[in-house]
Formats: sequence, C-alpha cells, structure tokens
Amino acid sequence: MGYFSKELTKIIEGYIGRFETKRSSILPILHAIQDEKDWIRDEDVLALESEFNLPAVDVREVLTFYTMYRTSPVKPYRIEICNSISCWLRGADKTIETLENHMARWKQKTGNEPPFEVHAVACLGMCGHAPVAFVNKDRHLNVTPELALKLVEQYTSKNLAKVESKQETQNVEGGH
Amino acid sequence: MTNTENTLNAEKTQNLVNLTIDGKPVSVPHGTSVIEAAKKIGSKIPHFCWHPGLSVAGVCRLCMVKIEGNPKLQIGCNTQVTEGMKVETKHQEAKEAQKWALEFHLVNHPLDCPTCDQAGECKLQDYYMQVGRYDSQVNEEKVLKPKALDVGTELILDTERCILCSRCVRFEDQVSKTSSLGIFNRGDHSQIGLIPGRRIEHNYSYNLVDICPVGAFTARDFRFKCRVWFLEKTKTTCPGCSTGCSVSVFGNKMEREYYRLKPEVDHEVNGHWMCDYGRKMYKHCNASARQSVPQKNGTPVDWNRITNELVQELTKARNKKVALVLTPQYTNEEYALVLSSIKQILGTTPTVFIWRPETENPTEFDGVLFRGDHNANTKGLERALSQANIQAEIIRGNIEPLKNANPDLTIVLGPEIEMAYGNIENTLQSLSKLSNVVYFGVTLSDTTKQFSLTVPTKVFVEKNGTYLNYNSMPRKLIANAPVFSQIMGLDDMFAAALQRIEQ
Ligand code: SF4
Ligand code: SF4
Ligand code: FES
Ligand code: FES
Repeated sequence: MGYFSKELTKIIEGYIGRFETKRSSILPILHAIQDEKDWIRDEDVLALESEFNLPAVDVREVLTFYTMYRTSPVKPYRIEICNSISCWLRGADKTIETLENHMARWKQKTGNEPPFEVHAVACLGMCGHAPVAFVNKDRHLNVTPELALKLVEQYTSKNLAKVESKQETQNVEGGH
Repeated sequence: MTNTENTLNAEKTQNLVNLTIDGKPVSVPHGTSVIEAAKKIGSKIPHFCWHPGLSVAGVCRLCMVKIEGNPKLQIGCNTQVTEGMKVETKHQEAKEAQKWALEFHLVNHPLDCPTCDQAGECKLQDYYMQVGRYDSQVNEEKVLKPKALDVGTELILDTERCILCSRCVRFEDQVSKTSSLGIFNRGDHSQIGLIPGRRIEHNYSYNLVDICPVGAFTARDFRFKCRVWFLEKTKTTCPGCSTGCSVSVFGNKMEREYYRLKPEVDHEVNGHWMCDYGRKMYKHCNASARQSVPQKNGTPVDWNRITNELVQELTKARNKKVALVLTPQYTNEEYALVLSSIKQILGTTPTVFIWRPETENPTEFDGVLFRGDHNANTKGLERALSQANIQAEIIRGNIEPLKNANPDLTIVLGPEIEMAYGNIENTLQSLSKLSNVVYFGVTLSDTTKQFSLTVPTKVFVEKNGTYLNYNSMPRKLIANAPVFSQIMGLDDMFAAALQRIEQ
C-alpha cells in the first residue's frame, strides 16, 4: 500500500509522466494533494520523495514559495475576501477588519479558536459585485461588513460534517 | 564537467576570441565568460554566486560590467566573450550598479561583523569596502532568521548571514550529489535550509564553508578559535591519502599553532575541493599532539647529542643483524637518504619491513577524491625500495616476521598520521619486546620509554620533499618553520651522522 490514496496516486503518476522534467510536475501534484487532504504535511513531501523520487528539497522549495499552498491545519470555514483594486475601493478592507475583530472577540468570549479563518486574496474575477468573498467553495457577492458577520453566523451554526480535529505538528513556515 | 574544465578542453581545440577589457587586449577560447577573461588579465569583477567549479547561476547581480554598444549593463559571469568586444569593469555605471546590488544584499544582513567568524575573509565585507555605499539609507526593519543551526558534524549555519547566492545548493547538487540544500519561502523571507530533521553528513561538507562567500556556513572545527588575519598559509600537499590533494595549511606564526587546511586549485588532482578527512591533517602538527624531545631509555636527551647517539647505535650494530621498519608516510627524499646512509654506515643492507595499517582497503576509491590508502607515499616507498634493490616484507599489527629475523638493532620510521593505523599501541608494545629499538615518530605513547632511542620527527608541513600519489605523480611538500624550533629532520640527522662517520 502506498502512502497516498489510490485516486491521488493515480493523479500524481499522471502528472509525473506529463512533463519533460519531473520537477515540472511538482506544482500540480501539490495542488492535488491539497485538494484531497486540505493541507500539505511534511510527511506528504517525504512520501513524494520516497515513492515518486521527487527530491524533498525541490518539493519544499516550491511548497514554501507559493503562499496559496496551505502548510498548517485548516479550520472548518475558510473565508477568502478579495482585496484587489475594485473590492478594495468598495471597502474590502473594512470587511476584513470587521471579521478579524470578530475573531478576536470570539476567542476572548469563549476561550476557543473560532471555527473559521480569514484571508485576503487577489481578484476573483467578479469585480462588478465588489467586494467579493468565498466561504469554502461558496461564492458571495457585495460582502459588506454586515453581510460578512451574518455569513459567519449562518455557517458556524450549521451542523458540520466531521472535520479533521487532529492538531498535527508542523514546522514548514508558510511564507508571508 | 565544470566550466573551467570545459574551457580548458576548449583551449586545446578551438580558436581564440580577441577582446579588450579595461583597455587591455586579451585572447581567450570561444565560450569563455567575461568574468573569467577579466580574471586572466587581473581585472577583478566583484561576484558572489559565480564559482569556477560550479555551474553559472547569475543570481547575485553583482558582477555588472559595461559592454560597448550595449544599452544596458550585463552580468560578467553569464555573458560570453565575442570577437572585438570592449568591456569596462570599472565604468561609473557598473560601479553604481554594484553599489546598489550590495545595498540590497545588506538590507537584511546582520551588521555585527565583529562577532562573525567570517570577518576578514568575507566577500560581503570586502566588496563593501571596494564598491559599497558606506552611508546606508535603509530604514526598513530587518527580517530575522534562524542562527547557529547545527546542520552537520562539521557545519554550523547562520541563515541570517546568507545572501542567497545558491553556491552551496549547487555544490550539493553537482559535486557531492547529495542535494540536501534548498532555498525555501520567497522574497526577503527566502531562507537557505534543509528538510527538517536532515543533516549534511558527507566527506566533502567542509567545502561548503569555503565556497560560502559570507559567514553563513562556518566550520565547527574552526569557528571562533582564531581571527583569520592572524593566519599565514603554507601551500603544500595533503598527507591524508594517496590522492595527494594540493592544500594550504593555515597557522598562527606567533602561537606556532595550526588551525585548518583549505584546498588549493589543482586541475590535475583535486580541482577546487578536498575531503573532510584531509581537513584534520593539522591536528597532529600541533605541539600538544606530538613528542617534543628525544629520549634515551626513557630519559630526555638534548637535540645536539642526538646525532652522536644515532651514530653509536649504528656503529655498535655493524656486522650484526639490523632490521629497518618503514611506513609509507615519509618523503621520497627521506627514504633515499635513510636507505643509503644506513647502508653506508653499516656496510651492509638491513632487512627491510613495511609496516602498514592492520586493517585497510587500499584500492577503495569514493569516486570523488578520497582513497582507501590513507598513506600519502605508498608508491614512493615502493619505488625507493626497488631502486635500492630491496625486497621488503609487509607487517600489519602482528610483528612476528620481524621477531623471527631476530635483529640486534631495529630502526623504525613510525607513522606520522597515526589515525590511519587505528591503534598503534599494540604494535608499539610488541616492538618494545625486541632487544634494541630506535624509533622515529610523533607518537605520545609511553611505550616509547622502553626503546633505546626515541626521536621525534618533523611533520609534513615542516618538510620539503615529494610524495608519489596513487598515480605515481610527484606531489610537492613545502616546509614551514617547525613548531619545535630545535627539532632536526631525518635529513639533517642522517646527513650529520654520515659526516661523523666519514671523519
Ligand atoms: S549559505 Fe552561503 S553559499 Fe549558501 S546560498 Fe547562502 S551565502 Fe550562498
Ligand atoms: S582526498 Fe586524500 S589527499 Fe585529498 S584532502 Fe582527502 S585525505 Fe587529503
Ligand atoms: S477586484 Fe475583487 S473580484 Fe476583482
Ligand atoms: S556572479 Fe554574476 S550574477 Fe552573481
């Protein structure tokens, strides 16, 4: 039995054969791993080396270069708010700030980490409805601070599918 | 094959390209880079990432030069010469570019040279003195990174001092083929590093310290022991194995203490590198590691009496059975002199034995430089014996054959680098059971008190002479002043002994 799931192994093998050099396949392979496992662990990097002969240093170089690869456990809800020019002009920063304050208050009140994380991302291609946000894979338009808070309430009160709760140690730094 | 080797080969087969650099005409083979061509006429272009023994990376942007007809400056390391090219390395524009390149290299570099072990041989310091801005304009806060990391038996890594030239990454990929280093993260958070939990453990790791142009990689063995400007170097040959790499031994004249070895470029033998085993070859040269005065039956004898004592022992043994035990760690000249003078004094040829390490694998080769024969002059000893028409028996650990010869006098030229012999104590013990032993060597063992005469010998860095390496290529030794000022070499002693006899 390999380290990765049968499906993932097949995807990885596909990418490896596709390019002139093996190294070129690192980028899509990491995406595939992230898609299946939510975030990329040190063990995944080592397994790429031991099972597919992709040097771990090369993989780690790519992994840490790009900030959109996640190298630490993810929370159940990932809120991505666009802060490129149109959304920024229409107050995306305010929305982000509001959510960050909300997170801080949550922590203070309950003593627990809130079940969501907030990220500023680049243009999502729906500038006509700025500011735009994604919550996991759902799209939301005109996300004012008020709407953002409402979204958080709606999502966090849902009964979640079982999410990964194991806190794994990790030492890859996530860039900045 | 490295660039330089490429160029060397090219030199033989291809036409030369003519150009001028800083007004001086120069002809170099097709394919040569501007930086190499400039080196040829002594124009030094500042550079970090280019190294003659590695591939070209072109990442530090320091080696900017002005080329006539070119609207922009070019990097000297990755620009090949063309016929009629006019290069200026000291052009105002080039200097300006270098100044700013350095400024960027320093944005996140700690400015604590006084506590950095590289100070004095740091390229960042050197170039800043040469082309820097002096008055820094940087207000930004520095990005802090991990320091003093334990990354290998020989190595300590300070990632904050790293200027990301990638020389070490290429060395690991191309020379040691261990590919253990990478540059992680990006932008000004870029960081040189290893996969967590891994280390750099191979026999060539110390070369990383040499090629790192700044104080990021330092040697555990050397750091903070001595400021480099107190060191003077002696160019000679490494005695560590039968490869015979060209090296420099660095010592502090005032302290009479050696601190380290570094490779010297030698395209015929070691290229730009040497091995970590060879780096240890200074330890046995220092006073604390070797015997300083001769002893006669365990009591110290003055150096100016030693020739007398030697002549006495030898003349007593005339017409008796004499055995000579040689180790393959002396110079060709020493073998020739010792063999001929003993024969002359005795009137007969002694029975010769070659004492070799108890366990060894002399034909082994690691594919890079290091050879399983950890004796520098196996070939030289063979040649000296065959020239003198002597058949010698090899002994290892067990000295039975020597005992059976039942000698009245046994002269031993013991190993200089005892490490190569594992533990020589057992052999010394058995030698001490023989009737009359004259022992030459560096050993600190107390067993030598039981010998009739024990004479300290010079070490390789105190000798002039030659070894023959595995390939029978002569390798030169150049003498530095001895650590013990009164010490006599084998050459002095035997020459004096001969003179005494002839009188
Ligand atoms: S550690 Fe030294 S050799 Fe390696 S990239 Fe940094 S400065 Fe260059
Ligand atoms: S390969 Fe041999 S001669 Fe070269 S540095 Fe190592 S021990 Fe010395
Ligand atoms: S700028 Fe926000 S979606 Fe384009
Ligand atoms: S030496 Fe040319 S770019 Fe670094």
